[in-house]
Amino acid sequence: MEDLDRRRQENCKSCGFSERGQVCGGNRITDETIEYVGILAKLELSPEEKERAKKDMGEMLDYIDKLNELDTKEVEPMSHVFPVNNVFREDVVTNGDDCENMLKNAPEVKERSYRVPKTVD
Amino acid sequence: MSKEYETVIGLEVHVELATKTKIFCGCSTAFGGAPNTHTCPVCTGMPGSLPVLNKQVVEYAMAVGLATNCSITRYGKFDRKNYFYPDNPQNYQISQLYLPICRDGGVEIETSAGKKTIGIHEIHMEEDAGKLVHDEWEDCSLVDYNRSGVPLIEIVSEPDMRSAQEVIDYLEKLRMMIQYLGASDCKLNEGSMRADVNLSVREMGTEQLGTRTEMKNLNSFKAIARAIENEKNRQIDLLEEGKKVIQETRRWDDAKEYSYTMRSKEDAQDYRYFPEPDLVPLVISDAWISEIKERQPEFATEKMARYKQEYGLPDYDAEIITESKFLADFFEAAAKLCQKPKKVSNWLMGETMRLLKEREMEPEEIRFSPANLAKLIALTEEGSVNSTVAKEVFEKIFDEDIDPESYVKEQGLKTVNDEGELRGVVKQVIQDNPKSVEDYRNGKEKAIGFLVGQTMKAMKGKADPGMVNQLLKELL
Ligand SMILES: [Zn+2]
Repeated sequence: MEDLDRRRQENCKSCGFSERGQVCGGNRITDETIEYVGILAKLELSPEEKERAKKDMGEMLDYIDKLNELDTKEVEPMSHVFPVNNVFREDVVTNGDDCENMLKNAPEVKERSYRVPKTVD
Repeated sequence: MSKEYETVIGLEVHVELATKTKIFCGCSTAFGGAPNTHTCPVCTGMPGSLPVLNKQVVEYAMAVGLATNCSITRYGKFDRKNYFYPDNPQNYQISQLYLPICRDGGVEIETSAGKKTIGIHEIHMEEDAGKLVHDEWEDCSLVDYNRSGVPLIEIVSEPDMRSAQEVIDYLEKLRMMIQYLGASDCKLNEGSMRADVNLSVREMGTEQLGTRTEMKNLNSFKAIARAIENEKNRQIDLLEEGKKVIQETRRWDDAKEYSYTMRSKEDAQDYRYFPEPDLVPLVISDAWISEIKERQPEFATEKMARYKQEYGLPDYDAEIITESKFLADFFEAAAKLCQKPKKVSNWLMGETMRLLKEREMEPEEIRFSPANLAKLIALTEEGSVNSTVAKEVFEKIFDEDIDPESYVKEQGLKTVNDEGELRGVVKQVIQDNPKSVEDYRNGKEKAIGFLVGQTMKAMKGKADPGMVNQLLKELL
C-alpha cells in the first residue's frame, strides 16, 4: 500500500525527492536534500564532500532542465534503448550447487551462510 | 460504544509460484536445501550478472489474472525497488510498480447478503528475498539466499472487505483458484501464501476512509481473523477516546494475540523506484493470451456441475469435494479405479473428513493413495469386509496408507460368510442369553439387537450383521 500511495504522489519535477513534503528551490540542492540522499545511499559525507556533491548534483539537474525545455507531451517515456522485447528463459534448472564458490564472495562465512552484523526489523 | 463503526479492509497477498526455477536465473526453487546451495551470481546480486525472465512466471501470473477477471497489460516492464537489508543482496528488489502485468479484476464471494465482488487493483510479479537467521551465540545474523529470487506474485485487492469472514472467504477463493491453476500450493503456514491486512474503521454511513494500518505476520486463517478483530477494536477504542489512528505497519503476535508497531509512516522507506534497465520490456500478444486461456483448467464451479451430472453426487458433496483441488483430483482418481464414485464420495465426506478434523489436518495433507481407498471399496462391495471392519481398516489406510487387501488377509478380518460356522455361533449365543431370548419372544423386538451384538463380538466383528440378524430370527 505504501508503494501505491507513492505512485499517486507528485514528485518534485526537478529533483524527484519531494515525497517528504520537501520542495526544492529550482535546481539548487538544499542541505536537507543532500542529507536525505546520503541517508538513502548509506553514505556518510564530510562537510566538504557535501558541498561538492551539492554542486555536482546541481549541475546534473541544470543539464536535465535543458531537456525539460523540449515539449515531450506526445512522447512515450523510454526505459530501454534497444528495440528488443520478450527475452525469456525456459523453466529448467541449469545451476547446480556451487555453494563453495559462491561463499568466496561473502565478507565472512559461518555455517555455510553469509555472516553479517545482527539485523532485526 | 456509542457510535456504530464499519471496518474497511484491503489485502496484499503474496503467492510463491510453483516454478522449478527462480524468476531470473536457473537456480532451483526446491525447499530444504542446505544454506546457499541454490544460488548463483544472479540471485546473490553479484556485479555484472544479468537477470533473464522465466517465461513460466509470466504464464502463471497471466493465468491467475485471467482467472480473476483482470485485464492483462500488453506492454509491461519491471522496476527496481531500492532498499538496504541483508536478505536483499542487490540492494534492490526487482518488482513491477508502473506497469503491473494484471489490473482491474475481481473475485466473487458468497456473503450472508448474497454475492459480492472483491475488486483486484493489480497483480504484479516480483522476486522473493533471502532468509535471515539470527545467531543465538554470537551477535550476528546469517543469510541464506536459497529463497532469494524465488518468483512471487502480489495480488493487491481494493478496500472492499468489511469483515474477517469476507477476508477469509476471499482468501479461500483465491487459494482455490490458484491451486486449481497449479500456480502455487498456497500454504499459509509454510509461507507460500502470505497476506498483509490493511484495515481502517469509519463511522457507519461516512464516505471518507479512516487512517489505516497494515498488519503483517499472519500465518493462518485463524490468525487473520483474530488480528482483524483485535485491530478493529484497537482502532475503535482510540477513536472513542478522542485519539487518532496512526498510519503504520504493525506486526501480529498470534501467541500473545496482540500487535505492535514495526514502523510508522514517518520512517516508511523511500524506495526510489525506477525502470529495471537489465530486463527488456514484456509484450503480451492476443495470441499468447488466448493460448493461456485455452490452457485454463476446469475450475471448481464447472467441476461441481460435472460431478453432479456425471456421477450423481448431491450438491453438498460436490461442493465440499471441489473446494480443494487436491480432494477433487483424489476423488477422480479413486472413482476411476473402482468405478463407484458415490462410494468414494461417501468415504471422503464421512470418515476422511472426520479423521482430518480429529487430526487437525487440511485435505492437502492427506497421505494415502486413491488406489488403497479404491481397493477397500471393492472389498466392501464384494462383501469381504463389513462396514465396521471397513472403518477400522480405513483408519489404517488414512494413517499408514496400508494395502487393505493384504492387511485384511494378514489380520484375518475377512467376513465369515460360511453359514454353517455362523449358525453354530448364533446357536451358542441363544443358549448363553436366555433372558434376551425370553424378552424377544415376549415381543420385545429390541432384544434382538443385543443378540446380534453378542454374535458379532463372538465373531470378532467379522460377520455380516444382516446375515446374523436373519439367522437369529430364523432360529428364535
Ligand atoms: Zn540463482
